[in-house]
Amino acid sequence: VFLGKVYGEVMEMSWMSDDGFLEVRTASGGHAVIVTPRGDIDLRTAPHLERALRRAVEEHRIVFLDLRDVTYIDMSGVRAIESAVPQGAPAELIAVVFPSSIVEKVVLLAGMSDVVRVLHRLDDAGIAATTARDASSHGEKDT
Amino acid sequence: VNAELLGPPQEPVEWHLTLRLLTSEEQIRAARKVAAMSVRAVHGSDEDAAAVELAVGEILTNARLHAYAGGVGPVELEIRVADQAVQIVIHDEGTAITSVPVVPTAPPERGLGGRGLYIVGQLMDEASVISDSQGRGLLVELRRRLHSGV
Repeated sequence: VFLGKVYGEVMEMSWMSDDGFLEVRTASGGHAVIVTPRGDIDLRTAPHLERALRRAVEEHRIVFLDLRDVTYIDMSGVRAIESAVPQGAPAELIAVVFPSSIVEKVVLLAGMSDVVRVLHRLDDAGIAATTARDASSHGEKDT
Repeated sequence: VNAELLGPPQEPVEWHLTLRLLTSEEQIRAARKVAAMSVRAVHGSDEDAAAVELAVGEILTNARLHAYAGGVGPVELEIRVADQAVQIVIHDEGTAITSVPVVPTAPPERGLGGRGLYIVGQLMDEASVISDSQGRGLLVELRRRLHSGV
């Protein structure tokens, strides 16, 4: 809905880890993509997230990583996210969205806020404006 | 006094559980979920359960990566809940190392290692690593006060 509002047409994809403990969905439109993992991000499933996120980073200028449906994340998950973000990437490349207290603690304590922007709401006004501005400057549909 | 008015007898809020497991990815996952359920069973808060699950998962993953060089080896996980606190001891039987890791009290720089142990230290009220007196691996001892989730 968020991307559709900003960019119009949205393409959605979904992958499930082989053990069924993590599903990763992506919804992309224009230069932005939302990556939404659902389930546990641990040693077993972290590579699954890393693959999806790496692809998202390679193909889009703005990446939202929506962690609202993540039930567990440890350092395996943190390293997967960091590995997918290229060294020296612009700070606005990846924004992490999360409401879960424990996920927030892990992200902050691991020092990930140096690499990613941290948001509590995907439709945060500032981000919507940034995204819309980006879309507008690249000739995307801005509805 | 009418016994029915008193309701069912209150069970003592104590829990003591010992698991012997291997550091396979599946058993690490199962063990951390058991730890979280143990906290919930004594009415710990969701925050308590999530913190304990993360700490146990992180320490068991460390055992796999460091004590067993990324492979599978035996670990004993002891969970004791009493007096509104959970105490956890995780004992691996990996190769004895010369320097026992210290739980960092400040965030380590990325790439230097120790971030997982730092997070564990921040989530627990007490966290320490000691070497086994018989030279059989390391013991990680954790303690966290529980906050009622009811």
